[in-house]
Amino acid sequence: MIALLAGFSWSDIVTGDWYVALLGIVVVCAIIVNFIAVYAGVNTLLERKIAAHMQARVGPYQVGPHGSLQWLADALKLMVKEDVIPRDTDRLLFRLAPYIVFGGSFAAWVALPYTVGWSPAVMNVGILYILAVSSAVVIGILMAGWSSGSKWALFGAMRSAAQIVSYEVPVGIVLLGMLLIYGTLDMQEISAKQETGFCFGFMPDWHGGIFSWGIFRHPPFTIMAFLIYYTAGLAETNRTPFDIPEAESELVAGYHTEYSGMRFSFFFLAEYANMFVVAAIATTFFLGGWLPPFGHLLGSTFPVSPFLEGLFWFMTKSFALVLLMMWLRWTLPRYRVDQLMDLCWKRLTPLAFVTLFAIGAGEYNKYVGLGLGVVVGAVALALVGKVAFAPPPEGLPPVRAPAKA
Amino acid sequence: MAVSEILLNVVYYVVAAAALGGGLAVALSRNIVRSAFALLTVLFAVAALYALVRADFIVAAQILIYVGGILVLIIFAIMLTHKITDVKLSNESSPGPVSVTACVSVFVLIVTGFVYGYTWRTGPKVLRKADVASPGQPPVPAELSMWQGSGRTAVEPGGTILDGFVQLRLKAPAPPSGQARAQFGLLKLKKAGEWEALPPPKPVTFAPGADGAVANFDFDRLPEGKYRWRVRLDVEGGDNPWVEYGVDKDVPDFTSEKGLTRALGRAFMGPYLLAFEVVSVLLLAALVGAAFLARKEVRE
Repeated sequence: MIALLAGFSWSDIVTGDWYVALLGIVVVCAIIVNFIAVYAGVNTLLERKIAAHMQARVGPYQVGPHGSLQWLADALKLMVKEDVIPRDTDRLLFRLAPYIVFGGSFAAWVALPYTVGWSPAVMNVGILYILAVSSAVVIGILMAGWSSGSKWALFGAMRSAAQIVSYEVPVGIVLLGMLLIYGTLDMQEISAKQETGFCFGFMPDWHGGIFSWGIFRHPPFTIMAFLIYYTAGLAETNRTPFDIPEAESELVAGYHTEYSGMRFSFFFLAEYANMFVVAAIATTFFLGGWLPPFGHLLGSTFPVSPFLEGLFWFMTKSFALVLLMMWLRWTLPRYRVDQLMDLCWKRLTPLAFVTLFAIGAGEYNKYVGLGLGVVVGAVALALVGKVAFAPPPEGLPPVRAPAKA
Repeated sequence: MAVSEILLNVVYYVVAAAALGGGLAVALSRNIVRSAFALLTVLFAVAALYALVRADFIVAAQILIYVGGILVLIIFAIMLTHKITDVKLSNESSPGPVSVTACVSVFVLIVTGFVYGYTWRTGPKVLRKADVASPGQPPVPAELSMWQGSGRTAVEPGGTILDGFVQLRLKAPAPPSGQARAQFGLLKLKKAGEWEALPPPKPVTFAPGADGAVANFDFDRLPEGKYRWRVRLDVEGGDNPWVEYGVDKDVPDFTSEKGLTRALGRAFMGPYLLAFEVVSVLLLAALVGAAFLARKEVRE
């Protein structure tokens, strides 16, 4: 609703082309909802397959060739399953919560810059809008946890909300730093501004391809910002290693413990939709949005249509980041609650402030930025080297037992 | 009334009803957690009202701060309160008739005072009176005005229009001769003191109204920049002079901007910088206070 009001070319409605505007809204929303459903379905299969292969298993294998139609079977099962509402629930809120969670993540999709010059809703306040509507997810999760009338759900909801609210701080600060470079909140303009440019504002008109992207504008700070954003984004989507709200060994399933059938699948859709939104924001801010990585070296990838070209690159980059999330899920163990808060407030947030300050200084004067970058980059490299080549600490067994002579 | 206006009205009333209904639910719900969740409706509906008046930055800030921050805090506070679900904490204790009457009458007084005390802008503000002439005819005294946003807000000279949408209007007391039409034109500022005339749109025929002849023209999706506008009577074969607003000045008639963000940013970093910083110091003080209250007592 808000997206509808704020985003669509409002003047269409005012000047009388209101039916065009309304039709556009309906069509675009239908496309996005269906896309989210299919994308989430395929991703569940992908996630199970990745998990299986990383653990030397086979994964789903029965439905379709190599189990490739498993997601359809899953979707069908979820749709026809009985909608159980436990006795001790607050029925109204219990029914409402999945829709609020899904609505929050769905609303963010309309402002993403999918391709050259086209977003469903071109918004002057794009990124701010996305961050804002995503906050409805927290409310929905709290609603689900409280109304379930179950201690597991309540614990999961509280943990999730605390986690999301905390990790919004480094996300906001890091994105603020990147906004200093672009000088606009509009997602389309942010993408377009990464077409030309180079580190620290040298050679502003150079078509550098990958070197013009946001991530290389103020190295090492923008690279740091990307890592901070991606880490915090993982935490905001409640993904491993930050999935303590759904920690199976402690909380059964977290805030959606009591849900079943279609309502449960709405939480599922919302989680996958959120993953894509986080990946898409990272793509737009750091990886050049819909720009191809070669600049003008190779010409356009799809000479026929810049629309398709932009769509291809945006989707490729975003899905690569989503895939990385799955990879991380099966690589890293889960954090504890206190470790999670420690990471957010004592490490990511101060680092985010460092990036904000350094990018601001670099935008103010490119030589200051260059100097800061070289100094901090050298220190960071030295630290990484020290950690990587450090001998194992005393008192702990060495990784591999030394060969006895 | 055009369909688009009806549509706008419908949206407005639906949103306003949602805001009021949510507010009533907050006040009347017997369950304090439900009250807190009903606040969500109010906050989103108010954001939608902001969207209706094109205040896009305020919409995002409203949701970000009130839903993402304050509402979550409220719900946290309620949920962390000891045994909140056992005690039916709510607004059950009904206030006495005297206090109800007092509150309602004060509220009604404030609202009526505001509605009648405020000068509502009902019609278009006439920017300039001018004589538009066509050859062989006496000059017609005309009124020029500039509106935005479904024709409700007049744009002051030098003002800012949002999203490149502006409606220009020429109103003459009597209908000019049959074939006369109004031709609107725009000039865009290229460099300082250098105006470039944009290709003129199609002429508009005068529509006779109750109090004269009116010609409206909508400019839509103007690129960002500074503009001047002008109008002339368009008679076939004739070459009439343009009537321009503020020809002698270098000041633009209006500036086209996308969204409120830039204007707000300039205001915060310009005339209101001190207020902005003072508020941030206030917030810092609140944060320090909260940290002080939350820390553990050090036993000696």
